[in-house]
Amino acid sequence: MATSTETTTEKDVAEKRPRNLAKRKNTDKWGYFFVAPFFVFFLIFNFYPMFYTIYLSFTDLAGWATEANFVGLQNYTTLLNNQLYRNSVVNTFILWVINFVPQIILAFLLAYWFTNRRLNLKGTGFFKSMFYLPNIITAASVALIFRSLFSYPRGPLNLIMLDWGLISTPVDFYRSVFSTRLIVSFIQFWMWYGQTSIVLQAGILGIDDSLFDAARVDGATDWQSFTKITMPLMKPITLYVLVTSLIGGLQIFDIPYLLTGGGPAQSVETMMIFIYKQAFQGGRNLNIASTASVFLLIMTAVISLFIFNSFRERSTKKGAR
Amino acid sequence: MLNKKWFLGLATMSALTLAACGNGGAADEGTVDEGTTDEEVVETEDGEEFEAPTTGGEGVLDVWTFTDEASTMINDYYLEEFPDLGYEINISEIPTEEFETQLDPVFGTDSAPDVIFAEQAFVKKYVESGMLVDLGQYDDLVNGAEATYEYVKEIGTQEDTTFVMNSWQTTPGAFFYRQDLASEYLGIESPEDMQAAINDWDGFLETARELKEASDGSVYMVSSRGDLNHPYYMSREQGWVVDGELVIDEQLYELLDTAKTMVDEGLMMDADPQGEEYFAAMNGDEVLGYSLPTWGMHFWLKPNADETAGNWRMVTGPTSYFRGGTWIGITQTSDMQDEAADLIQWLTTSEDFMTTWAEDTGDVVSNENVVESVRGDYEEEFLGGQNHYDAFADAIPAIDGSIITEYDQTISGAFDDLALTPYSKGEITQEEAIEAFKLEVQNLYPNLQVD
Repeated sequence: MATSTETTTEKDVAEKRPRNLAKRKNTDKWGYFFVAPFFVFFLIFNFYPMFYTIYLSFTDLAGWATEANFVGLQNYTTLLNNQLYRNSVVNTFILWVINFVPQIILAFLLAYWFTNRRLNLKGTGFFKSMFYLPNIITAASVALIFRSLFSYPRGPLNLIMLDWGLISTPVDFYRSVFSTRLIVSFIQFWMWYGQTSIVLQAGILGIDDSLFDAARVDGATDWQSFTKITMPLMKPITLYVLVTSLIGGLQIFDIPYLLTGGGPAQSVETMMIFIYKQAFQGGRNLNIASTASVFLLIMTAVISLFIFNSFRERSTKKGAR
Repeated sequence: MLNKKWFLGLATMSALTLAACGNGGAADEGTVDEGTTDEEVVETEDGEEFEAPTTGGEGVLDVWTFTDEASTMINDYYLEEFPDLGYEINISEIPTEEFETQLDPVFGTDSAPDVIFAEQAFVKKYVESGMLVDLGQYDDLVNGAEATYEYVKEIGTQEDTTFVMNSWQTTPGAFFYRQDLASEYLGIESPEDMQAAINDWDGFLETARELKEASDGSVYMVSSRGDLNHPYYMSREQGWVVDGELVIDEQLYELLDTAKTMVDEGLMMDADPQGEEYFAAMNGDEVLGYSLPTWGMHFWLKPNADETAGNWRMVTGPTSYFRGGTWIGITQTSDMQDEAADLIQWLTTSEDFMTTWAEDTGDVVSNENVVESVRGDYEEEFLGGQNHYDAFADAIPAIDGSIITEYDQTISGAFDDLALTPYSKGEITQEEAIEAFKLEVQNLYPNLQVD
């Protein structure tokens, strides 16, 4: 919108100028050159691979084979009947839910505190960067740190708990489905709540101050202005956080893979780990891996659309009232 | 004016494209095999950085390996011996866990290296791929390989008897134990007595129980299931897959039981194989012994046991086995096959080189004549003066290479993760363990007959 109004005003100005200046060449075409590199790379590295993957999902390409033969929907039916694949879908959602719910709650809380003018906290800049810090460390290092923190039988956490008498024998955290899922989710939570909270703060700061002033004049409490003004106006940004986190969450790979390789009992084997193992390990079944990727794409698209729609419906209903 | 502007625009665009490519240098040479020599840094799973493998183009012999021994052997021995080769050797060293992911996509294409090194866990995958050069056409190599141990050649040979990969080393395994702990708690004073005590798995378990009683549970027999699975895997009658069908050998059920017994009775420390505790215990007084092969002593035990050095001894243990080993082969897409064959011939059959290599590194080589001639000359200080070479040499003839299959790495890994580990820790029943294992194998190899 903004760019189109700018160009129209430029045109108006140009028309009013003397003729010799109006003869100046139209330089708009240069834009194409400057966006061209992006499109070239997009076509080669995003567009083409995506359609190639979809193509592979209908073939039998696996192992050392170099020629792909069409097999129709066979891969899709195989995959739908694959117990391990269905488990991996469930695992992915479990991990996402136990990571996202606490994450959005804490992020909202922090965003609320940091932007609250009445609290007027000191050193918010420092803490913002502190909370963001885990996100800067590479996943490989984070996995390594947590791997050794919780290691068995002589890991630091086990030693401390033994020392304090909390447990009598060391706990093998990575052998328990429950604690492994919890640790993976916690790492995801710990790595991303800072990011989420900063996005939410940006959203809160984008709300017109006069609304809060008016509310305060009307005698609203902090909590009231948060629930009645901040929350409703934060809808678009919350939607953004929800959708991006969901897409990221469905593609979760590095932390669970590096931590336990999907174990114990394949309890943190996510969809991406399944795809990776199919594509690069064992029989290197690129066809199955591609099919699983297509499923992931469809799943992401459908769920995102669903979330978008449910958000829109609610806002229109409210608007109608 | 207009032309100039067009030219500028195009130049900017192409410059941007090339810069982003990170491959600008090779673009204007115009040769057929341009190679990719730009240094690119990639990361392994553990975040360790390494340079992406490269191919040097025409007239360069590209070698892809996962072991630093390759560059030592080539730079310090091969190039010393033949300084006037007339071509360059370009060695790319890729961490073992990344080796296959880097090689597989280019294997069988023009971008593949000329010479590849492969480890026992995945060597058969490349041997059976049918994309390696038949070494049988090089008479000198075949003649030289006559003195190579049979099992080494067997592993490097395709099912249809085409000989495609050879190795310079053998990797018999042994049980390394702490003599000081053994005499303190078990009253065992010599490796011979130790071997007599743990000559079979029953004796092994009995000794472990005695040790537990005598030390009041403060000393474990072994560190982890990793000290049990390799000896057991190698004493199987059949490999993982026979005629396209998954085989679960009797030995594997015995392995499950032995491991579970040892965990249940507190006879093993139950650390993760190659985990922190596994290595840390090499310097402590909690673990009596480790099952390790030739290279395991040099690369794992020695560097982690500086405080306990000199107290270690080695014996064969309950069963003779081998673990690891490196084979070398030539890709069919190579444009320097003869040069590659020269290299392989020298590294894997030259008795002069192998003698020097054995003397310099203590590596147990694959040439029987060399092993016989040097085996008497060793005294390993780390083992309190014991002749490890002699002991390893004794173990070679018992090695059976026929049970190595192209499925080993994946299927053994699945067995460790889904059956051995959870069952030994008492998390699931034996049936559940086998079931989970079969499901995973079927999943990774849809074409195999499981059950």
